[in-house]
Amino acid sequence: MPVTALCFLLGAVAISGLPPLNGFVSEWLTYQALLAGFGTTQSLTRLMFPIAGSLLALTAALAAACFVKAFAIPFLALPRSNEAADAHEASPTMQAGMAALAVGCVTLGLGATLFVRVFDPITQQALGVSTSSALVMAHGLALSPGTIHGGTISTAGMALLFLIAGAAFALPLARRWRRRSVTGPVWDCGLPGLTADNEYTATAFSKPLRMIFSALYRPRREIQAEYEVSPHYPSAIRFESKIELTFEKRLYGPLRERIMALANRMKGIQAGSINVYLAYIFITLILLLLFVVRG
Amino acid sequence: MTGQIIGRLIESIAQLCLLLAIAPLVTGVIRALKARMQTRRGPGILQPYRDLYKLFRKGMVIPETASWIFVATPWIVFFSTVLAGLMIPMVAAEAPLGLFGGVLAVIGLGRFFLALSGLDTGSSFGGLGSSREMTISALAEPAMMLAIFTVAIGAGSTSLTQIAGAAIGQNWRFLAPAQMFAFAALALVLIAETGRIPVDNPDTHLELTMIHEAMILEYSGPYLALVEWAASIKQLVLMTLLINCFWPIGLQPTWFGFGALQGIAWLLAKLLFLSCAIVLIETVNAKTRLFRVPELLAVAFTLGSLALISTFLF
Repeated sequence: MPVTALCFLLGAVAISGLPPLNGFVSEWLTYQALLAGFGTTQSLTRLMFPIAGSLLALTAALAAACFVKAFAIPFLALPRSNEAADAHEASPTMQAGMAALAVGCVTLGLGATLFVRVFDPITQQALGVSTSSALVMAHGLALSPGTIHGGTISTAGMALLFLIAGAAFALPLARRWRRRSVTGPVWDCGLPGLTADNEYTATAFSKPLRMIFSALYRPRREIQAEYEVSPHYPSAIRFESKIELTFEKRLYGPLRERIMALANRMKGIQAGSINVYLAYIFITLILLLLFVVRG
Repeated sequence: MTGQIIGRLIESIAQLCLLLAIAPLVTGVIRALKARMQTRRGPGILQPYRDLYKLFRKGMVIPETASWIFVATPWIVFFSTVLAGLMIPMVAAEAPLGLFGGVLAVIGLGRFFLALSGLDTGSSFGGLGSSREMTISALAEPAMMLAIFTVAIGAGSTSLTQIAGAAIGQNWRFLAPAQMFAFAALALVLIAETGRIPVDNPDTHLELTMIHEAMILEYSGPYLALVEWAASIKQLVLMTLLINCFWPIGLQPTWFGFGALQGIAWLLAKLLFLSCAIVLIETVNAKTRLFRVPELLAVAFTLGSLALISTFLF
């Protein structure tokens, strides 16, 4: 599925905040805003800015890890299931949808300097100044945080250099080296033939992170082996691995239950009879009148 | 305007040549020094050049399960690392492509594709390496960001040119507590990012311990040479970043004139000093277990936080 894979790859690079796509531009602008925010106050609250910055960095790096997995496991190497082996491209209209999003990632990334103008009405309304002219530098080639000494980025410049280097060195050399290359089997520790069972799985890929953040995920696993003669020759193995959805269980779950309980109690005043509702309106009116008279 | 662009171009080419030329040398010096520290004779300091030369002339084997990612990755990794190298101040305080910004993100792009290529072959070693590499880099990131934030606050900018410029300036003190803590934090991150003991062992091909080597296990011939070269350039870039942001001594105002030679001499001297420190750390430490690495990076994060807090106190 070359078209789907390419679109997915572009999206994965973009969401991981890697240059030269749109995710990188957004992430970089957020860092600059955090750095600038640090200078705006003298109180201890400004410690929030660097902490937010480092959490953003962690998020971006975890996103990169996640999307390496999300792209590589379904699209690369040997198909891991029969369904995956039979996978084929979707219809052209569905491909067009993905392609439009991928093109958006590329355009917003490379043409970032053209699109910051979109924010002008917002900043004009909120702050009374338009910022885009201060952010664009070097004839629209680079983006800056608007201060004189600030750092700059140029996604278009990077992409241009990549293209030049690719065309000048990579393509001719790759063609020459292809003549010297042969296709061979993958190293499989001397076993006969690599199969899909040898491949790394998504669960295995994220295992180190599950172990490291085990306080959060509380992973639990269960292995049951059945054997007839000796435990070294099991006839069947059942493996189960689960993680706890910490935030769902500890934060959203209780919150939802509270809200539902409150709503249940409120249901009592919803009798469904129009007379009762008229009475409510009447009482509200009297209360409001009292309020106005007292005030 | 045109003169400025041509000037930048000459600077870029000069820095590019320097980068490509001395990256294997740094690797060779570290290996030779390490051998001496362990009372081995070891290969000469020029061995990495011989390795690269030999690999570039060899044929190669492409795994039959690999897709275009496998072939594109060495180029993407090499170009992105070299691009990152042109964005840092090496000899002159003004980085040739400083305008482009985002050094660490560009290195991150290389890592992303290297991890993909590790999984692309279908070999379990590749997956193992990719998984570990992405995990460790995710954990190193917050510490690195805190340290960089501290340095950026001191210089008032995230531009490396400005940071190095501020470091040359009068009221810059390396011995300020914030600088010391940030330096220590970044040094720990450097060890993790370049795959050195105690995080990864660059000399081993032992299944249980390797990270970077596991990802590139299926590469051979010229593509292996590209990946190895890129790895040594990445190491040089991160080392240069560390020394020029914290010990800017000998950094020249521009690439032009006699000063450049002096600047190169200073750079080499500082690199040698840092290499000695790395060798010392590698020799006296054993490689830690993979699941002890988060503790090491937590120390780096704590040092980064201390650096930040000391900007308030001092």
